[in-house]
Amino acid sequence: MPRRVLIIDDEEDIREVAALSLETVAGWDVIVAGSGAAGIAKARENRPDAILLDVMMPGMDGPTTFRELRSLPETADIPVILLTAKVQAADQKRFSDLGVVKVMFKPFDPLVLAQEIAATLGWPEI
Amino acid sequence: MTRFNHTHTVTRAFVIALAFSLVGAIILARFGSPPTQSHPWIFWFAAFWTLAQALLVAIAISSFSAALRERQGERQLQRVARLHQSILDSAGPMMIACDLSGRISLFNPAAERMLGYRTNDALGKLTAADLFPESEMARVGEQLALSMPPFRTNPEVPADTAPSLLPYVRYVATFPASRVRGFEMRYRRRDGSTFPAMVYLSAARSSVGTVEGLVSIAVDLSATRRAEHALRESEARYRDLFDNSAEMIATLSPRGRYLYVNPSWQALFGMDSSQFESLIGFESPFPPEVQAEAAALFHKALHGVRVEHHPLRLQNSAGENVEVEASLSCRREESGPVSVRCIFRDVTQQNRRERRLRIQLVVSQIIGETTSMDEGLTRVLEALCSTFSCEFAALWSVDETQHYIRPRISWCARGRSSEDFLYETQAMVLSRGQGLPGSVWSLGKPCWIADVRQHPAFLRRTAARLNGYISAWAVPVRVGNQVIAVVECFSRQFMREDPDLMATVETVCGSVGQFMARAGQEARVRHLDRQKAVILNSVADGIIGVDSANRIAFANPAAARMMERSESELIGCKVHELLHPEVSGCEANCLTRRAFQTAEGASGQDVYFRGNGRSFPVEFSLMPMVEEGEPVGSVLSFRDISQRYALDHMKDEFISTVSHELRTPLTSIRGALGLLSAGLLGEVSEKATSLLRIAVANSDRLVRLINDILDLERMTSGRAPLAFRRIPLEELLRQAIETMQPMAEAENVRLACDPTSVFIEADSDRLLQVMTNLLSNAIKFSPPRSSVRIAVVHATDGVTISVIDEGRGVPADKLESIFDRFQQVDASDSRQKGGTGLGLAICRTIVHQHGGRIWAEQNGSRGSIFRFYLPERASLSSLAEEATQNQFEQKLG
Repeated sequence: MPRRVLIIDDEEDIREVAALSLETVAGWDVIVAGSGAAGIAKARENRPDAILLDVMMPGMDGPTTFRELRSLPETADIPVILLTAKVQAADQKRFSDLGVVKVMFKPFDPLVLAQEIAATLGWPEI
Repeated sequence: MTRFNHTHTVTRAFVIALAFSLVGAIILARFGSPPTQSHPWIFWFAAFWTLAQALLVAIAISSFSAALRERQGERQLQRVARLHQSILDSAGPMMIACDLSGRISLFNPAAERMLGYRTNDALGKLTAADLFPESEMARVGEQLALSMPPFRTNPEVPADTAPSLLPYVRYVATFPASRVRGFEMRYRRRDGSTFPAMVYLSAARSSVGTVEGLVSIAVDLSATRRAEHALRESEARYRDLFDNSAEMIATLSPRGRYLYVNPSWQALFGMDSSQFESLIGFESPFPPEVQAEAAALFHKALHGVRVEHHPLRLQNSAGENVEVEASLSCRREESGPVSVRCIFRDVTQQNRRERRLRIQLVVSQIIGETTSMDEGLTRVLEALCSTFSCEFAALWSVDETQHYIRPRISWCARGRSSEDFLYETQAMVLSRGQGLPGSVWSLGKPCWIADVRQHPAFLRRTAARLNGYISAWAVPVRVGNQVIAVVECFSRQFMREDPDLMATVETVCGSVGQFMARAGQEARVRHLDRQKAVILNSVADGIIGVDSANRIAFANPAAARMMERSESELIGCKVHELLHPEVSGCEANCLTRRAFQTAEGASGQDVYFRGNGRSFPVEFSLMPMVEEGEPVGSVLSFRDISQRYALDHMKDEFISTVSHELRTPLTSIRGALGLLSAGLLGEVSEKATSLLRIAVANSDRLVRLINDILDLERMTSGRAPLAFRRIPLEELLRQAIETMQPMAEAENVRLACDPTSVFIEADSDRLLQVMTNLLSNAIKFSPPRSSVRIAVVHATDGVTISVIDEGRGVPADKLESIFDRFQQVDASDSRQKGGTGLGLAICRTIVHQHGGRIWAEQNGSRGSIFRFYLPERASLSSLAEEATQNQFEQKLG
């Protein structure tokens, strides 16, 4: 059974490229959500193996969404990887202090994105 | 007698003539009448008789007038004789005359009184020898003979002269009466006792001038001798005492002749007692300039005024100045003054001590009291003049460039005008060695001119003459070894060179030098204080001075304004408690607290609290004040950076947003292109693949460019502080090589690194960035199969890391400029090699942040070397900055 990964990002283009990358390179099952709230709902519904979470989103931003996920019993254990375009040191520190598994930066290489996720989560190499 | 005999003869002739006349008259009467019966010869007889009568009358008249004259002369003679007799009778001195045989022919009442003989017993009965003790005449005679000039030893002496009188007769015969001098002889009285007398001898001469006898006038010296004897007796009694006295003692006769001088007196004038006896007056041995004063003192004493401790300045036999206190008094008896006693006490040393102490005391008082340098110096000059009897003084100061000396202060005594001299002095500017002040400045030692009017090198001679100045001296004023001024004094009296005076003034001038230096420093300090006050009041930064107990000693208005307290409120507050009150919740590692506690310099950013409890961000700098190795406090300056912080925050936000907004579309582009070019989404033509690869490479480049611009901006703005850690350099180099290994392999370039065991204090991420940048450049520009080597040289003060390649190298004219932004060796490099043109600029910024430097060299004929040097120890401020940044961000949320 393929891995199921939830991508939460307000940018539709990025959602599409990332989903395409993970599906074609790793063959994972990808679910996408366009906002934090939608992402939480999808996570509770689909119980993904991992969540790729954008930071800058209108309404509920990445960190808030993360804390919400952590607070829900059914999503608390799902590993979350932040995927952000904010690369400044202060931001990085703030993100890593949240308790996410890893912070990955945009733009990403679609050919190695799945590999990095697998390596981070200790999944078998693709 | 002659005259008497002549009168007698005339009278006898007159009587004979008168008898012949009577006889003639009888004959005439008998034979003449009557005429007719007379004899013829009667006529001739009558005529002859008449003539005889006429002659007789003439003789009678002549005889009468002669007798009259004779009587008058006799009366005159009697008067003279009575006068002589009364002189002889009344004269005080003895008057005795004798003939050449020695027989006494004159003996006046005084002689009777003194010798005890009556005149009648003496005249014709005594001889001169009877009046003297035995051998006295011989003794005096010998002395008289000796006193005769050799060419007059044998004057003509009458043959009948008694032998004992011979030398006396010769003596009076040799000299005219006016030249005969008195001599002392002892007389013998009738009772055999003797007494001394001063004898004045003269000759009794005949009408033809030959010596017929001797006349002596003698004055009894018994009383004088007794007085002198008594004086000697009393002197003898005290002589031992006087001879051993340190005080100078002399006894003089009322006429001013020295009777006794003790050894101290002799030593003072460098003369022995016999020399003193030959002097004609008390003042004779004194130097000319004090003779008048000495004579006046003597006369004062002689007239009964007691002179007590009168100061006199003289020179001793060695030419040294001696100051004495003279006390003179006169010993009197009924007859009048007997002697004048003089006692001089040498007060030179005492006076010197007193004068030195007094002038030093006065000058130190002046210096201690006065705040104005010019006023103080004027008073010092006045004190010097009044102490050393001068009327004009000036202080010349050497200018700061040490090129010339000019009068700064002058002082002149009231009374006689010093205008000419003052004007001439004030108008002068002298070079080193010129004039009196110039010479003293040049020689660095005191100078004395006893008479400026005659001194050729003294430039103000004419004015000195006009205003009556005679003597001058000048003394240098020193600070350390440097002459900063010269003090000169002028006197209207003649003053001999006085080394002691100059030594004293030199000591005083030492104090004056210190005073001038201190006053100069005080003036500078006041100036600096004013400057400081202006600066402190006008700067926008808050400045707080803190004492060693960390209490505020001063605060400028800006500090008070920022703290929202008055300046007086701030003084005395504990500085840390003020800046970080309890509400701040500052911890033990608070940078400000630590900096104050360790008394080390620090700078950085912090948050301070105003009086109302509101916080504001500051940029501060703390500078410790150290005196003689001991911390005495510190100065804290701080600047409210609220506005700057807000701007920075906005800028950060903007950059973050821009970065985010650029990356977001790039992410889509890059992802889409990546997937397409990999062919995962279906077959793509070869040309399309090639174009897709170009698009991927350029989107990667665009990402790098955005990253680099952000990095560089953050670093140069100081908002990306370094995180210093102690790290093993080898580990860092290994990481860099590992990172770059794939690229090197792709380019077929070999990477090598020298082994090293050095530890460095650095921000490892940043340094890794530098290394990867340099290695990336080296690999990019190296030909295949070449190698890139990392070399490490460790010195005591730091480490130099070099990246050496064998590539195309850097032209000499670009070795500097390649570290500037967007500057590459070749404009096409960025396109061809995928660089951003910012890599080396970032490297340089990072190395500078580490306190080091970076540079490029040519590697011989081929390749280039990029070296950077890192100092051994990172500065506290850099370390501090990191700590502050963390706190800062926490506090400001």
